[in-house]
This record gives sequence, C-alpha cells and structure tokens, in this order.
Amino acid sequence: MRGFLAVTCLCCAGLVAISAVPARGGAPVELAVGPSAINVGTFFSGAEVSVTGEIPAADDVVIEVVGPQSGDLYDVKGRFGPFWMTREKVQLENTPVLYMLLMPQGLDWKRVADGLGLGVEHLKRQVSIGPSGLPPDDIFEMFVNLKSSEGLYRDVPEAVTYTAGSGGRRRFAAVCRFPSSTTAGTYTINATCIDHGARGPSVSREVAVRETGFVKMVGDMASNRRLVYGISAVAIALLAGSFTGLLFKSRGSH
Amino acid sequence: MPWYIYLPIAHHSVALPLMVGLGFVVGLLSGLFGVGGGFLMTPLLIMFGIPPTVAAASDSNQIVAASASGMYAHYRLGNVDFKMGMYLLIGGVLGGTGGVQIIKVLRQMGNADFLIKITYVVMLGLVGGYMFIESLQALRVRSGRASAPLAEPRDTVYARVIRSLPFPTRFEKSGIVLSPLAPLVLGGLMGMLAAIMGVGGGFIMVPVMVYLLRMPMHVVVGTSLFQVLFTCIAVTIMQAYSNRTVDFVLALLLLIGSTLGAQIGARLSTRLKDDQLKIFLATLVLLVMVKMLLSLVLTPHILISYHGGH
Repeated sequence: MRGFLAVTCLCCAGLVAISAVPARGGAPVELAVGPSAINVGTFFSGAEVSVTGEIPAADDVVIEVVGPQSGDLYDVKGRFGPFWMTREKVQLENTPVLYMLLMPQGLDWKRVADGLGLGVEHLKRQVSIGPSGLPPDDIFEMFVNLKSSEGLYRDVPEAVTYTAGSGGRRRFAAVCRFPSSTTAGTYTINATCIDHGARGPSVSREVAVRETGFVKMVGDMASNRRLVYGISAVAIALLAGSFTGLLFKSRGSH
Repeated sequence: MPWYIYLPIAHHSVALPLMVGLGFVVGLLSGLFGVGGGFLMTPLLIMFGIPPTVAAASDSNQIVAASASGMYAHYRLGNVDFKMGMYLLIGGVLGGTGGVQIIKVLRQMGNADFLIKITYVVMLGLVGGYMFIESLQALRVRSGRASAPLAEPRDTVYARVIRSLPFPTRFEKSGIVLSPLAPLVLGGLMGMLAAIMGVGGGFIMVPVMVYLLRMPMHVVVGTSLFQVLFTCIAVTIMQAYSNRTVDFVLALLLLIGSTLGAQIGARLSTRLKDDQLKIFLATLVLLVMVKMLLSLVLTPHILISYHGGH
C-alpha cells in the first residue's frame, strides 16, 4: 500500500513538473486588446479592435474572434411554382453570433488552419442543426453564406503582421473589424501559437459589446413598453410634420 | 459630422446622406406628380437592405408626419369631407387591424416578406401599367394620331351594385348620395394595404374616390389625406405594439429628405408637361415592380434568413 502511495505521489509530482514547463515554443503568449469595450450608440457604424502581443521567435500566431453562442430559428427558402418563399423553419444551436479567424502573412495559412481545425468551416462540428428536409451540410453552408454576407463570419488571410519584440521574441499585431450588425454581448479573442504546424499554447481576452444611450433607450422602450413607444413615434412624427409644414408653409401631398 | 447612424429597431447602421437622399428623391417625385411617396419608399428601403417588415412599418410612421401638414392646409381651405373621411377611416382602421394581424401570422410562418413583396408587385404593376397606358393614350390623342371620341360613361355592374346598397346617405361636402357601406368597405381594403405595404394608400385612394365614389376632385385630396393620416397613425401604433417593427429614427431621416424634396418637386411640376411626367412616373413605378418581381423569381444568393424577417 505504501509503495502504491509513493508511486502515485511521484506521478503527481511529475505531472505538476511537466505542466509547469512552458508550452512548446518557449514562453507563453502575451495578448492585449483595445478597446476592451465597444459601445453601440447613435452613430455606431462598426468598430475596430486592436489585437497585439508577443510570441516565441520561432512561432506563428492565429487569432480567433468568437461571439456569444446563440440558438436561433431560421427560414429556409424553397421554390414554389415560379416564386422563392419560405419552405421550412430550422433551428440552429451553438452558433457564435460572430466568428473571425485572423491569419498571418506568409504561408498558406488557410491550409494550416484547416489542419488545426480552425476557421469558419470547422464551426460545423459544434453547430447543432434541428430536423430539416435538407442535409445538415447544405443548411450549414447556407447559414455560413448568410453570416458571411453580414460580415459576421470571416477567415481573413494576411491579417496578422510581425515585428521584432522584446528579448528576441516576436511581436504580432492585427486589427479586428466588428461590423455594424454586431449585437450586444461578450466576445472572446483567442491568440493561439502555431509551432511548425502544431497547435501551441493560447491566451484569451474578452471584449464587451453593449448598447448605450439613445439606442439602448429606444430598444428597451420598443421591447418593454410597446404601446408607449408606438404613441411616442406617432407624436414625434406629428410634431415633425407640423414643424416642417410651418417651415415650408406646405400643402403637402400623400 | 458622423456619416452613419444606427437604427435601433432595424439593428442596422445606415449612411445618413443615403437615407435623407432617398427621402429627398421620393419627396421630389411626390411633389412632382402629386402622388404619395409611400409606394416607392418601402421598395427602395428594401433594396437598400432595410428588412421589409421594418421598412413597411417605419414608412407608415413617416407618412404620419408627411400627411399631417398637408391635411391641415386642406382643412383650412375647406377641402375635407369629414363625414366621408370618417367612414373611410373606420373602414381603414378595421382593415389596418386585419392587415397587422395578417403580417403577424405570416411572420410566424416566415412568409411576411414574401406577402409584402408580392403585394407590391401586383399593386405597382396595376397602377404603373394603368398610368402608362392612360398617359400614352393622352399623348396620342393630343398629337392627333388617335382621334376617336371618348365613350360615354356606361351603367356598369359596379354602379348598379353601389346604387342597390342600403342606407343611402347624403354627403354634403362631396355633393353625392351613397351608402356608407361603400366607403367602409373600400376604406377597409385601403387600411389592409396600408398595413401590409406600409403606404398611406393615397395612390390607390385618390382613384378610388374619383372613379368609384364619384367625389369631386377638389375634396378628394384633402379627404384622402385625412383618411391616410389617421389610418397611418393607427397602423404605426399597431405595428409598434404587435410586431415591434417601427423604427422612428429611420422615419425621421426619411421625413427630413422627403419634405424638402416635396417642396422642390411641387415648384418644378409647374414647369413640366403633365403627360410626360406621368409616363416618367409610370416607367419608374414599373421598373421598381420588375426589380421586386425579379427578387421573387430569381434564385436568391442566400437561401436562409432569420426567422421573422430580421
């Protein structure tokens, strides 16, 4: 029994020692993002977040930007006679509202990322697709097309640049563009080291996106006090119409 | 000055000059041709990426503002038949309620956008086609190539049906005797269209009053504006309450452009020939119709959309 305990203790000590050794490629990744919060206000038209950090000199880095997970119902179009209209509804779960993969300059990083299971195409493994008359792969492809058209899903080649860092390390920088259709929530930015095509250590930072000021007030009112919102919209329109009528002494048209 | 503005209900950032410019162009056409801009505004908003349900509801909100000043001016001139307007309004509110519920049910089913687009295709096709043919005939008559005299009005089935309706009532301002059921039913149809299409219904209401209710032209515009104003007030409140699709920021942007455009258009209209203007408008209407029709029949680039039109 004592022998078994001694062996177990030795094994544990060994595991602790192994985990304390820096991951392949040397020192861990350093990562900073700025700003760490994005405000969706009246004049919001998208935002840029700067991603910088340092990695071991021999390594490369890929950056993933992942939005909050969501589950939504989607309308799938089909042909009815000469027209295209909704043929069925399908539920998709575990879909990030935004996904971007920023890759470095140089190699064929799309191929490398594919090999590591990174990129938009690889979200297929985590997305759960409800019952549908179409194959799940087709639904996923349509879904990716929709998200890509909104600028929410993207694999961006040559987005990460390198310069010399401190202590012989490599400094990386990238700019991540959040489109205007970005919704409120917490977004995660992961920087993953790549050492000779193998996945190394990674570090994450969070960016909060939140509606503020007038946008938040209007959104809250339209959702929670719908009647008040409707009456207010009419009152404002009547005031605006009367004001412009006075301004132009208009007889108007309809 | 920021060039983009975020629409809190559409959840979409739009270029400020684009939306004001769109309002201006539609207002210009409205002022030039003396017809409403609503039937052009909603399709154009859809073309610029605003979800159809938000475009239609916000356009109703914009029409409230646009018709308010016009109706007040006509009221001061004594050109509003309030009695007729009230019947049209009651019908309009009932029809609008029905239209909002139809949109609500179709949003659940996922086909609200299809209904809005197909209604536009039909209405724009009918109105644009009628205007085009009528203007072409007028031009031909004027140039002497067609000299056939206009036929005398016939006693149509419609006229016989209207005469046989119960409770004939005299409408003093319009100088006609008519059953209140006629404006109630026609107002109901207009209200339903207003809810589905996001229009005031003026471009249909004016021909309805002239050709179907036989009202004199001088009271048609004022009474139409009265009905349009209150129908759109009701539709806006119902859309906000039931469907949460009214974006009043969008409505205000459009209003800024459309009021300015309408003033300039009204001044320009006095310098241009009527029939040429009509043909130009009819062509524009038909082009918008064709664009919408193509969007329904050509294979879409993206075959999936968020449920409910957003």
